[in-house]
Amino acid sequence: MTHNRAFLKVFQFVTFFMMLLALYAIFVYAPVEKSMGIIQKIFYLHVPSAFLAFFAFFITFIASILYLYKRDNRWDTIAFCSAEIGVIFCTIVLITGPIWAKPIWNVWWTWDPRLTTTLILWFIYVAYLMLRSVAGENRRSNFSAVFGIFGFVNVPITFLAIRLWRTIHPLVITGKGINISTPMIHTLIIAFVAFCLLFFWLLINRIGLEKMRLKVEEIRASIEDKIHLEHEKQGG
Amino acid sequence: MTFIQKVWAIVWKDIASELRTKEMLLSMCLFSFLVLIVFNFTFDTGLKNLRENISGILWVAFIFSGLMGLGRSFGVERDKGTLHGLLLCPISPWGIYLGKMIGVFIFMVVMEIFTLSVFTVLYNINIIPFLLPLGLIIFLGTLGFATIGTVFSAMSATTKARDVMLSILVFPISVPMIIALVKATYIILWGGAIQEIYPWLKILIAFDLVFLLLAYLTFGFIIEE
Amino acid sequence: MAGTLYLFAAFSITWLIIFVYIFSISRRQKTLERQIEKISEALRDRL
Repeated sequence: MTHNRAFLKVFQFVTFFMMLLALYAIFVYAPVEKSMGIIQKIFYLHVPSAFLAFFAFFITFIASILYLYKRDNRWDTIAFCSAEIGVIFCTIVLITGPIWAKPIWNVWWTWDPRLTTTLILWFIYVAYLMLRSVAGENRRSNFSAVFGIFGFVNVPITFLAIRLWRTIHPLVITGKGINISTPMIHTLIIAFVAFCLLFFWLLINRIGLEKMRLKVEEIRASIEDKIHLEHEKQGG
Repeated sequence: MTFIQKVWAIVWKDIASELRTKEMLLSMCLFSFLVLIVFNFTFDTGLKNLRENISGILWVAFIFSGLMGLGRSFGVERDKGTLHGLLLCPISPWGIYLGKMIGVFIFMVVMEIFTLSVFTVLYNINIIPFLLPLGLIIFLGTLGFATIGTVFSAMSATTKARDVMLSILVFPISVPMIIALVKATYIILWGGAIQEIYPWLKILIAFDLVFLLLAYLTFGFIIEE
Repeated sequence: MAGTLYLFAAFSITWLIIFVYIFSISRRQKTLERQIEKISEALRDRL
């Protein structure tokens, strides 16, 4: 336990340090991009968040399959926590995207395949979290595991359908390419590592919290059972 | 009893109980009728450049009233306490699933035939020459909708806020299907070449097969007590 | 100049979301710790 805690402390420190380093790299080290100007710096938040949102939902998918296969509650906890953090990152993507798009494309939103798929992804996992909160205790794990699988399998089909749907229309807005220079790539890598560390730090903490909640619930139930039994004895 | 007979018994049970009250079919048909009328006011459907909307309106009517039927599929079993009896039947979860799914499918098809006839009259579209390709698209769409819908209906029947939950689960998953359906219907209704709908047909078939397979693999986990 | 404003908005919203989430985790953790404390106190009294 103490070993674990020390590891977490170190992990937390490294995460914090990397986040500061990433901020430094984004605002001081990376040059201002030529065609988009300073706004391009959103890129360093947007891209890692998008990757992590997708990665988090992938973890949910794998953990859901493993849960149904192994019947081990640990996988259910991992699937749930990962989905929740994935929704957080997906929200960041969906907010920073339009803020970036507005000054560059002059619109907040376009129904481009990637944007639309991300939005649908967000809806699927918000539905996943809602399902967990309304489903009964004994069914929650099974339901959410099945929905976690359905939701993720649906993503490539959605992407294909939306791409086909949009390519028939003329593209009004096309993304301008970014002229990436070496310092920019360095910055992106640093931001990427920092966000990955943040993700895993959040995931570890969230899983720890969920485990603790389950434990407290378990203890409560067993105490209540005992009290009930004693009352019955006294009554009889 | 063979597997097919058992599945048919479940389907027939749903049909027989519906024929007694006719409650659900009537409300589904009435609802889709209303959707057609309301959309006529919200979009001026006489305009040529809004023609694309018409195929969308048709599918909104199908899907929204289909959702009503779905909600009741397992909802009624739960309310009347017959779900337990159904689970005790000597049949695999896949059999129960197929029975319920085919039931939903049949109710939706009846509603769709009614809606299409009203649609033909109200929107002045002669669908007779397109009946075959349109029928294929509607078949694939209804199958896909019943496929995912039955799984989520079984889930949401046991939760709080049942109907809202069902819509929240069904809509995001059905997005690729809805896009393909609306596009393919649009191409068919406005006399596009049959080859143009092939990519959409592929998506619909892939959607139906993938989710039927997933339902086969996972339905046992949903109804287990 | 407008670019800076958008940039500022994007970064501050991102950090706000992350910090609110971390805060909610730590708050829930505190609540649970308090519950554990209560339970163990109650158990100590009975024994």
